This record gives sequence, structure tokens and C-alpha cells, in this order.
Amino acid sequence: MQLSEEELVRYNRQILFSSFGEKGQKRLKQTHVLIAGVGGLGSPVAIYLACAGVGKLTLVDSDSVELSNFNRQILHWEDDIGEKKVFSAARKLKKLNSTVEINPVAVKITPESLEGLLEGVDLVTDCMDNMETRFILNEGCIRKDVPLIHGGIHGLIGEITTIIPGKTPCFECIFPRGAERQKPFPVFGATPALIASLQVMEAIKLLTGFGQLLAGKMLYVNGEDMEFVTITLQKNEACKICGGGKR
Amino acid sequence: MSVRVVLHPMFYGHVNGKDSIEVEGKSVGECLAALVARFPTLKGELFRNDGKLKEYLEIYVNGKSAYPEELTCTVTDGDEVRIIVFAAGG
Repeated sequence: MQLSEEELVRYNRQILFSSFGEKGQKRLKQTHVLIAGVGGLGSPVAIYLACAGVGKLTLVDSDSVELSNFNRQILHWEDDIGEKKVFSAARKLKKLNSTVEINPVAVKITPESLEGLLEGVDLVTDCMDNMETRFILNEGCIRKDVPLIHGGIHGLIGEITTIIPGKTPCFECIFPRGAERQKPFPVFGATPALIASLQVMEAIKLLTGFGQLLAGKMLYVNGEDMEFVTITLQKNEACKICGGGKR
Repeated sequence: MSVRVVLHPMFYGHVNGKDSIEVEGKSVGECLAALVARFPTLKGELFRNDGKLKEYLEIYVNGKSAYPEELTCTVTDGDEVRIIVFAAGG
């Protein structure tokens, strides 16, 4: 696969990054990322992956745009109220980078729907706003051997880890209690923007093969006190989903 | 017997900005009770009204999840109890 003259100009500033280069750009062009949730995290994730030149983005979200989204969900604007988020997002992303294939899917993520959605996908970004769907994503990705970049936020606090099936602890290993937090949750727009940016950094590194990943590690960001803490995660040998990384 | 309780960043404000606190206790439950005795505003963050842990918390002892018997999990001198919060929003 060759890059066009226009692509060489468009992506020049990141091609200059020596660990990435034209090779990385070509690889990125051939990848397919599924963005689960196009809200506070999913909006900036989609924007930066589209800007970076990922070949295909599948956007999955069953919700419609509401007024209360606007403090953080930057792909949705006032004229979009009532529209399905995936279509609102797809319209802007095509204007941002018309060379990226955008596949909007307005369905709820269930074990059944996820099965087909994961076909041909190289990576999933977990941008959901609820625990239940995160566990569905985790199990689906483990079964299909698809890496999953988890991001979560609350107020000014955020977290991110990269789950690689067969290698790292899975979501179930990390959060075996499987609990839900109350909704609606407090949040400033800058929190998902920050975590989403980190998810995109992880995605680009993982898809093109350079740098160190947050694999088996959780990075916590506390914006209130401006502290960044990384902890090492352990596999759960009794994990009912991944068997402690054995499947 | 001293156990180090490492707190999630969400709780730093309840313990004068510290990231960990040394407490005495023979189980995770005793350690958390000692922690709450010193920093009472943590009680509502860690425990439900029925005395059980809040649903969004995970407890790790020396790097391993203490699920499902978190509060009765035994600890000894020098152990580390880490409280992790699941940030579920997106």
C-alpha cells in the first residue's frame, strides 16, 4: 500500500516521528478500530483516530444527542439534538478527514450484536458509560482475540489500561466485583478529553508497533490534585473470562 | 502490626492529601475500620449503610484482588492493602 502525495502532506508531522514514519502511516491506513460509545470519551477518540489516518472507524452507540451531553461530547452540537449519536458523529468526522471510512452503527452493544461487530476489527476502544457493557466488550474481545483499550472517568478522575487477550489481565480480572456506579455521574469535559487522548496514544502505538503500552498496568489521573499514578495489575487465575490470561 | 493502606486518588482529599496511611489490623476489615476511625469522612466513601463495601471499590492485598472475601481477608505486618475505584463514566 502506497501513500498518496496528499496523504504524505496531511500526515507529515506524525510521519516525522521516527518510530512511526511512513511505515506506521501505511499500517494505520490498513487498520479498523471499533469505538464503543460516542460520548465524552468516544468523541475525542474518534476525532484523533480520524485525524491520525486510521483506515476505518466503526462507531457503535444506540443513544441520541441530548442537551446534557454538550459539556463534554464535542462531536455533537446544538442542531443535533434528537439525532442518533453515531450519525451526528459520522457527519463531522467525514468533514474532518474524508479519506477515512466511517461506519456508524446505532445499536446497543450486546453479546449477540458484538459478535458480528468485531469481525475484521483490529482494536476496540472502550468509551462506554456503564459497567455492564464494559464487561460485554471485555468478554467479546477475549473470545475474538481483539485488544481493548479501556478508559473510564468520574469527575476529574480518570483511568486507562490496555487489555491484550492472552497476555494481560482482562477487565474481569481487574474488577471482579462487577459493580455499577450511580448515574448520572459528575464530569468536566476536560477529563474524558484527557483520557481519550491517552487512549488514542495507546491505539496508535499498539496498531503500528512502537513504544510502551499500559499493558497490565492501570494509569490513574487525578485532575483535582494533578497527580498521575500507575499501578501494576495482576491476572486472576480463577477469572471466568480469561482464565488468568490463558484464553 | 503495621499495614499500609494505599488509597485511590479520589480519596486523597479525605486523608490530608496523603496517598497511603499506615494502620493496625489483622484483616482488611480491621484495617479499613482503623482508617475510618482516623479519617471519619472516608466512611461514606468506602461503606454502604449496611456496612458492606461500596459496589465500585476493589480491594487488592499485595497486588492481588481480595475478592470475594475482601473484608475478612487476613493481613500481616508489612502487607499492602490497595483500594481501587472503578471510574465507570465515559
